[in-house]
Amino acid sequence: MNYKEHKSEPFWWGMFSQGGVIAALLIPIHIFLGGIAVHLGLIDAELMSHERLTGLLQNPIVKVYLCVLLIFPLYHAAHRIRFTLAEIGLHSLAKVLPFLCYGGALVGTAVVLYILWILL
Amino acid sequence: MMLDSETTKTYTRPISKAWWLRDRGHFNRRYFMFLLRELTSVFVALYVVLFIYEIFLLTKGPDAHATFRESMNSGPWIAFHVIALLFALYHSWTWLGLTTKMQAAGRGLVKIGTKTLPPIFIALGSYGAWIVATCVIAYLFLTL
Repeated sequence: MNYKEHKSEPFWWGMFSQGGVIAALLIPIHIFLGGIAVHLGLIDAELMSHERLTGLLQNPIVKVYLCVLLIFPLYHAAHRIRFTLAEIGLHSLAKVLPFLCYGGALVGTAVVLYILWILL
Repeated sequence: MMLDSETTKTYTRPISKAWWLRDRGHFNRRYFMFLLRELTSVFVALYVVLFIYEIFLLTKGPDAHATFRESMNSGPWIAFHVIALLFALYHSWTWLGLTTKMQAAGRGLVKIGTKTLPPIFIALGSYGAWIVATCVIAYLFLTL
């Protein structure tokens, strides 16, 4: 293999790992509560209302929590998608994929920080 | 004698393009499950992006957010969330199972004195942490 490791590689692996843990522990319950339970009437629809959610977001601890919840899994996904796309046949893009995938995660990070700490 | 790297080549077995469906004429379940496991990250990413979009809409006022919530309350979007949940659960299961596999392999990660802690305790620890985190988040979300 003519693959030369970039010196930033350990950082992306670390973020992949962090994001993997956070996604494993926290993502399923969020999908269930906000995407399924509320629509099946298992929980009160008021819990997902604008008033209620903006109220929760007044709390800086909630904001920090959402930063962790939303940012790290982006790097986890970017890393997996990068290698999987190459493995299912896009070998020719192997040099570009890190830029596209990690770049996407970096843009996502900026968007999350901007929305949570500047817009809100 | 030094081997000239120009004249020696490592043999690499040719791999079919759809190796995760057919490898040397056969369906290989391990390859397929590997690809499914990698695919979980796509659903995690899609869900995260949707979540970010919802928070953005919160800044656009109650009407914009209510419209978004209404569209989420439709068959296709509920189906998306059910599929995303199944993939997310598969990610949790495989990811949290890794530490147990590491403990079972070789000399293990966690030792007490010279004895290796049985892998079942690692499994209880990581899956237990998952259950606790899930309950705490659900409790806070429902009661805050």
